[in-house]
Amino acid sequence: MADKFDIELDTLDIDFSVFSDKENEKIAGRAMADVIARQAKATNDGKTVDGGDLKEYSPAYKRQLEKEGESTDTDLRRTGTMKGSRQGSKGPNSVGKIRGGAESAYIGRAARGGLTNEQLAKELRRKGYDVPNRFAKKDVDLVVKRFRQHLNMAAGKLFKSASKKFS
Amino acid sequence: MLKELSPRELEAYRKRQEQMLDDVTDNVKVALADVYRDFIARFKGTLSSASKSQTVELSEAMATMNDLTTYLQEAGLDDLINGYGAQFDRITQGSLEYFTAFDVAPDLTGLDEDVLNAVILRHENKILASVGRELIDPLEQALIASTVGNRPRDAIVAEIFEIAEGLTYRQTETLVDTTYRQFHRFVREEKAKDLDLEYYTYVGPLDDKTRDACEFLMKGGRGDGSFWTKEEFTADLHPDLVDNPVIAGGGYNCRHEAYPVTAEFARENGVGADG
Repeated sequence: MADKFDIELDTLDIDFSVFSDKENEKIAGRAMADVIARQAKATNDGKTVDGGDLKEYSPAYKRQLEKEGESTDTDLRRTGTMKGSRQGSKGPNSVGKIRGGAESAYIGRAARGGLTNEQLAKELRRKGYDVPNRFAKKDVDLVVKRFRQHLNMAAGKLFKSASKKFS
Repeated sequence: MLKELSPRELEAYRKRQEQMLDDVTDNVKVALADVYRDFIARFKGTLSSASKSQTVELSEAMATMNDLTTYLQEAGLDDLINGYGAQFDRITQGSLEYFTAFDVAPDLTGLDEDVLNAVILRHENKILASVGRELIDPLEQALIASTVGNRPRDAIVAEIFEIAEGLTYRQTETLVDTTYRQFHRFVREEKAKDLDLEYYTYVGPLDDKTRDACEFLMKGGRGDGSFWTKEEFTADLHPDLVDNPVIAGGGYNCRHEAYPVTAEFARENGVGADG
């Protein structure tokens, strides 16, 4: 009869769910929410998404605002429906079409003059106003940081060291 | 013939006259303060009456207040007017501008804050009550038509204006725009739940029109003052808040937005590690 002996094996148990589309979409969606908020604050403060000053309104538009008792500072707000309509969406099943990621859009048709909110945003961009629809360097850094944070947190789940004893 | 007064007697006489004038002025001031209090009470009584249109009530109140101001001026009590003016300037300015949303263009330089708030609430309640009774279905249909379909906003305003009794075109525009904004906030809130976002940051203009509640939501929270946990961000935060601030903001026609964000973003903007 052979002598009885023990064998210990280390196993590497990789949890691939941390790399799933679903997980990535959620991280991207959360990061997009942060980007939308950051850019909304910037616009409200009269800043472009890069931190520069927003282009001033035309003299005629300023006169109109003054007549209505409104501030003439550029904040790209008239009724608020366009700015408020910006929505982040994750994955391919909603407004977003990006599998494993997220995007944002100005939804609906609430702008004056029959335009959709997205069309109004585009028109304002054509006139030289920085209506948020792009990532500034700050935003790219923010998104990268979020994914890194996620990977760091997931590291513990990635590599589970387990021992099995045979006898 | 009048007796010639000595310098000492003249000085004593001057002092007595001054004292008399001071007494009279004080009494007049007290009397005018009573008039003012009475005016406020009558104004509040007028507001509680639903027999007349809001605009007429407001105009009458404005006229009374203007009369009072004239009376004070004629009595030579400009300092009293200035005192009222300084006290009520900020809220008056904000409120008067606010009234443009209701197609009312009052002109006045001093009103009690409570009274103006009462007027605002009455206007809001009137519009919201009519929304509740008659316009919810058409507004919901309009939202669907313009969000999912391609019905232009202006066509929807015209359509609602046709069926909204008692609302001016400007009021209808405000109502429709408010409905759009609240709908977009509702959508954002649903997405926030799906993403498990932990904080809100309150963003918008800070000027003479800004409501006290909105100013508090921008300054009284964590980090730079605009951050609140999702648990604490409710109508309980400020006595002027009536509805969920995520959807309603600070109230009807609010210009502010609550953006849901991650805990990481909140920390990066000054919120402490302990939340």
